Amino acid sequence: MRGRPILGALSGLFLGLCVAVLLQQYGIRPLDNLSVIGFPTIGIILGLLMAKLAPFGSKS
Amino acid sequence: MRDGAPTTRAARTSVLIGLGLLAALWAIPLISEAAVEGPCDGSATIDGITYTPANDSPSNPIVIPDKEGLVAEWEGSTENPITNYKGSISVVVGPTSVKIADWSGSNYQEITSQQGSYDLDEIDMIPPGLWEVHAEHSGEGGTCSGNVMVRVEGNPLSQLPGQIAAGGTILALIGLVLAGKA
Repeated sequence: MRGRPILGALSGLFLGLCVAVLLQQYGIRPLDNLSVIGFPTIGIILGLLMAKLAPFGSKS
Repeated sequence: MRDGAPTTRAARTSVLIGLGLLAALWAIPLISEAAVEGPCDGSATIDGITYTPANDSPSNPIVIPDKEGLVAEWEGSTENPITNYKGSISVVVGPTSVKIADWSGSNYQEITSQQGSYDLDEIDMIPPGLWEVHAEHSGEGGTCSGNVMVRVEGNPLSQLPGQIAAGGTILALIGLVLAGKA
């Protein structure tokens, strides 16, 4: 893993929470289980994947 | 195809997987809960529109307009008298809920219907957005519970939660990009 997994996981978690709040604030989806737990979970997975596959576009 | 294609393909694949997960999550329908469970019914009229417990989905919420001086005219009824009752209203936040009001009483007159009005300016501290509201009322004679969706209108970016979420989204995206750098 050549990226930053901790930064990725934290950023993904924070992104998921912020997206959940934004969707709620704009009246699209309430703060239900899927929003509050699902979006941050997907964010963490995305962040870890970003770190695992870093650096993007480099020659392997 | 360049030499770096496998890594690039893997990166694209991971992003696609993430977007796929997001789409799958998004596609899961918001289950509309049974309007009311138990021997209760009710309605409220806000800004000329009458709402019932059927307003329980994000596409069909109870709308509280961003206007001052609004009053909700409400009425509620039970099939039979519920005495020594207690009840509460709470806002669902993920796996938990936050109680915003509760009540209790004896109902010794054995009333089965009631009506009144509520000044909506009293809830102007609630940020705009879509809220899932759960209510329950129970006592000797029956137990009622139900969920409705309430959309409080207003500009999200004019309130602190919306501002924090918008700013946080940008910061988090920057963090994700930095996490993908060596």
